[in-house]
Amino acid sequence: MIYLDNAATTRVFDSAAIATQKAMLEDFYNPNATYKSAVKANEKLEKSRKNIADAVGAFPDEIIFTSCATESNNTVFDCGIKNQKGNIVITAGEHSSVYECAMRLKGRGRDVRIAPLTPSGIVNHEKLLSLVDDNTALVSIIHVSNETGAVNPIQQIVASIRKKNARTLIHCDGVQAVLKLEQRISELGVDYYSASAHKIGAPKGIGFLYVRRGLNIAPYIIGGGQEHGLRSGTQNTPYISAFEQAVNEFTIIRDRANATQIRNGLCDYFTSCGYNIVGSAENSGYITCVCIPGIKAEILQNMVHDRGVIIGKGSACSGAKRGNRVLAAIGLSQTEIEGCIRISTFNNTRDEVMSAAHIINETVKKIRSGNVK
Amino acid sequence: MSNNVILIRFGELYLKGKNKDYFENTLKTNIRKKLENLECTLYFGRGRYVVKDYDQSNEEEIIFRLKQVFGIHSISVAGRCGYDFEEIVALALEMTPNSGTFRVSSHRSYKKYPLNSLQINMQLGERILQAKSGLTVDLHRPDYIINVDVRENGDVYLFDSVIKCAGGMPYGTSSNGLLLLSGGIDSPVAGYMLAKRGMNLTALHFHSYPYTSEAAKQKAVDLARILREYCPNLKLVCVSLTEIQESIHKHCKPNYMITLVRRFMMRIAQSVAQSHGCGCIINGESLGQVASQTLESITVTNAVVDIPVFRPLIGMDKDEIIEIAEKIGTFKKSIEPYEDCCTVFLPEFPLIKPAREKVEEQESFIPDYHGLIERALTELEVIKL
Repeated sequence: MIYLDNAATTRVFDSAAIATQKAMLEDFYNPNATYKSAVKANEKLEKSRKNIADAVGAFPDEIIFTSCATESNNTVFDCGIKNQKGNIVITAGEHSSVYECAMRLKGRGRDVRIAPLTPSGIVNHEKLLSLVDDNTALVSIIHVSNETGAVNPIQQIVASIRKKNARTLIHCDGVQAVLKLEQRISELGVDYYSASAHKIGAPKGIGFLYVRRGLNIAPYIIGGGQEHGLRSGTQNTPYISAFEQAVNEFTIIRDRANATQIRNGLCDYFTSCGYNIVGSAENSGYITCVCIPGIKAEILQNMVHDRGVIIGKGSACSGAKRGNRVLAAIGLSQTEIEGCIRISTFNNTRDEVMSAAHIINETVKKIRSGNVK
Repeated sequence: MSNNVILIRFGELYLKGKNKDYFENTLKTNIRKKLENLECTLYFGRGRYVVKDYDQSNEEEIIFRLKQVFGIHSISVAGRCGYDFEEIVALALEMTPNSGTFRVSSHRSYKKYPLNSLQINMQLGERILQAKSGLTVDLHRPDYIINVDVRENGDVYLFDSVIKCAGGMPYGTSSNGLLLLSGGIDSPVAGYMLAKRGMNLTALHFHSYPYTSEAAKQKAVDLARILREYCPNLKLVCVSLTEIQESIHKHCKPNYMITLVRRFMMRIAQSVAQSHGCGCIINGESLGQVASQTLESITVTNAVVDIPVFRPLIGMDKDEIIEIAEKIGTFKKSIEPYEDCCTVFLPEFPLIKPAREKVEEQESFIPDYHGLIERALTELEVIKL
């Protein structure tokens, strides 16, 4: 099976799975207890935090472990907004976990403003700026689109927002970007940054929220005061170990230039087949959204699965919902959206990706001939 | 172990004559099966069944499960004591609050008990009044009713409330039917309605993989699993319509798609019904709800089968159907937005009033009509629930 739905989740690295098992069977102590074994477990946890922080470009005390990026995003929207009367600006390309948080605040009477996307897939920089004013409390921008792979120029956007309103807080959802773009979080200039471990070879159930040093945030989950009081609940040490291991392994094998080369090959092939690549902006190299005219992505997805290829269609997190808010914001019609597949790579080889592309194309021909069996 | 018991009352079975035993025995089997992995003792008396000797922590679970057994009209959680009147008084005092109004309502199935119902009401009421000065009697609208049930097995049960259950006839006492289970809101409710009347169900789901997803099929499986809570031994049969729909799409006018597909479905359903010992087809059609559910559409689709087709929802509004779906727990699953086979090749303007002759003419354009049905039946899949 050629797995090309890595934007949904990735296979856990063997080394990460082994680290999980070791932490479960050997270093299983509660890191918050005071006896020797627990203190050692805590040391290990802090070592993991440091290694992960180093890899993503942050100080260890800026990393709060959470259960996932959705929790991180909820924390920001629920507890990370200082100006309780200020407006909130998000982009139309946000993942549901940001979009729904913003909509909930809107339902409570907040002024929520949505910056449109350009046809290239990134946020319209000028229009985003025009929505920011003196009373803007939070701006949230997705780093890499989970639908198209388009990279928002966070550094530039943050600089221009700061010029207009130096006090506004800026959050960035970096789920599809963290480590893959090789950009240090501290250099982006954001206040908050969300990440999820299962997109880079660690298990589902662990992520982090970066909170810029010096910024005080109220906890979203309260209780025993773990994570310096910012996220209660005994830390998930097995998955944090796995996260650290996955970060180590991915940092060694990552090769954005190679991923981009593979993606370029894919784009060339699909363009020659008459399909359209969605989003012409700078791409992370790991996600390709292809619009195949006259084809329903769901049928294609089912058929290629039976032929040994797994691809995505839209966001897996909203798989049970009809339509696609983000692709519509780029300007795609409903029919075009129905024909959009998402191919997302992680550590795939060029050969397997191209072989999958060939299978996809052959399957499209079969569907068009009216015989799906 | 709990000192409480759960009294089970059955409804329509009272009306049965010489075959009452058959219905009662089926009900007893269904109750036994429903509670089989919970530690408790079942006592089947005349007109009342009793669940006793259960762990108090399981009481809610037992009530929940009994509410899913057709044939049970209502249940009550009751305190139990012997015939000694002092025991009855003690239990009644334990149960009653200290203030407000009350009434005693007695029933004696053990007619040799020294006090008749009226005497129990009066004497027990008097003792309660003496013991609890904050209580007064109100026979018409009391805050609290102490029901006393004197049974022939030496037990007296005292309870204050009655929990309404599913009612209907014991599942399995009204022959076998084949339910067309789509994955929408209506068909599980239709199945529930017939199962409530005692019909033993087999469910048939049509899918169009790969036009419909594996998740859509799984939704039907999940719905069947919810229904199985009410319908023990429910089976699910899945048939692919992919080749049939492609053939219709290729050879017939687009607006005939739904009518023709439904005629195929009915033919296949009749065949599956026969091979699974089902004497009727059940579907969730409600008159006028969609194009395929007009009188003319139903007439045309009904024409291809000669076994009865039951449509228990035919006169119901959507909100009435939803109310039942919510009650039985299928609604949330039903509204998950996966495509079903009826939406594949959906024409922009489906026929609302198809004419039989024209439909048959369109059907004649489909090559190897019977072969398509045979192949669909050959690839039939029985899903383990």
